[in-house]
Amino acid sequence: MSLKKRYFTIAFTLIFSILLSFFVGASLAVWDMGEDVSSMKALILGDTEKGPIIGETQKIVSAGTSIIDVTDNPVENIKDEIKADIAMPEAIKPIVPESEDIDESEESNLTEEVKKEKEVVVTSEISGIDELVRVGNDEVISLADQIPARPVSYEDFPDPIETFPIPFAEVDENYFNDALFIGDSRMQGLGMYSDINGTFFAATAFQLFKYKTFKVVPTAAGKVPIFDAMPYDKFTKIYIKVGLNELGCVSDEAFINDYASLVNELRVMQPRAIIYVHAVLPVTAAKSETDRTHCNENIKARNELLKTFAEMNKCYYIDVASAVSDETGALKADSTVDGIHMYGKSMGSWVEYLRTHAVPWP
Amino acid sequence: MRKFSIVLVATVAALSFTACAKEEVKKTAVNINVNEQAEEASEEKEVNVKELADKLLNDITYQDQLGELDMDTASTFYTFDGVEVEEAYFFESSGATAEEIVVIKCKDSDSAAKAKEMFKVRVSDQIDSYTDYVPEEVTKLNDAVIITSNNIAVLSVSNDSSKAKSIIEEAIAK
Repeated sequence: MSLKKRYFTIAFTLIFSILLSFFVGASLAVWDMGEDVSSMKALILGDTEKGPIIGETQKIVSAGTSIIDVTDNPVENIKDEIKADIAMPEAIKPIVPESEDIDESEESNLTEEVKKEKEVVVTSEISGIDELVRVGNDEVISLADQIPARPVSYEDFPDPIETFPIPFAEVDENYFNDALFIGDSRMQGLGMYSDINGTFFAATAFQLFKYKTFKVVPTAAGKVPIFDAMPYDKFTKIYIKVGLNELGCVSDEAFINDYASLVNELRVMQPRAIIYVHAVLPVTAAKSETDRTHCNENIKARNELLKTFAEMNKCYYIDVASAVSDETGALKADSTVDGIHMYGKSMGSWVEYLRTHAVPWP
Repeated sequence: MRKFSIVLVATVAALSFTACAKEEVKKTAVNINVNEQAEEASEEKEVNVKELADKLLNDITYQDQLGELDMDTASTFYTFDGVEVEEAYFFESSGATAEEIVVIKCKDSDSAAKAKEMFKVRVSDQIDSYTDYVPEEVTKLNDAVIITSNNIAVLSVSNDSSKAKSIIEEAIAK
């Protein structure tokens, strides 16, 4: 074989090898990630309509396509007349910061799993909100223009938003009979070991940014996400306790965005309900020293954020942390096995706080 | 022939450069290593379920402090679909661990069989929850003890599945 031919053969073989390895590798990647070719193409070419970007896709609620549309909603007891009476909320668009507002260093806080689950279309407009200020500068998102219109059929029932704020008072145990408790494992523990006779949609490992998909509520068909099991207009009080499991996973901005989204959906599904923003409970001093993510400094900062959010969005912030803390503000060491989860026998002060710091509500 | 050999070698080399499929952590309980034992006793033996539950609680050292739950509360995370319960005891953790004890006296062996399936679903769900939350607990869940005998169904999740198994077998064999 001549030298020229030899070089040609070697070059051909090399190019062939590279092309073949690329093709096989790409095919394996497509198969492995469970995507189709068009999605992968969009990902590679940076098509923003398909490519994953930080944040979370949220369903747009608009007249005629409300999230309480029975064709999409598993709730079976929505009667036609109730549906007809409901003043459909105006379009509620997700509160998503512009991409340039997102601190790049915060992006790195997202775990790979979160990045995979989240996809958002970053818009250049944020409609429906007069005041949107960056979280983290002592200012929070105002939902003032996004609060859905009240169903006209409930004119004889107090408006939870118009009547805000109502001073706390002491109530009896029956107060919780029509209350919904949403949250993480500690909230689940409250449901298991206290004598509160409410409804608990709480679970171990629950994280706010997964609230649309995380399976929480046991049903005959297995566990389902909270809104898949949520009945319409059953609850008049809702307690939301999240914030610890999200530390170190998402930024404050993303966390409060998700919180706003949850509150919006709850207000549509439970139009008579007042909403309690439950403080994140502290951890023990020992736990706080060894776990610098789930430490009391971060918890305190998160609670300040939640308190401001609640005040601005006509929710009731409830500082239960003070009921379970020692003199330093840490969770009492003898009330927990791992510095986080409380023994059942230690729930009494928590329950008592809820009972003595409640909004008198029908 | 030579060219063919070169192309063949190149193909093999190319395939060796392709990325391997990423191993996914199996978060779903596809391979629960459950110690199951279904005994069909030769004659009906009356099992004192309260004593059995207490023995599982007191004779095994738990990492967590287990609290007793009533049937109503347990129904919030167990789906008793088709499981007819005559007597039941539930001891659950604080949430820090996946440890738990469930002892059920069912109406009949059919209900006990359904209770066994219910326990499997429970363990599978717990594995899903704890895989990212407290991964160390998955070991206990993979060694969960689920035993049925006639109309008795038992679930034990602990650090000592061998001891749990022997306690249950002793109670059934009495």
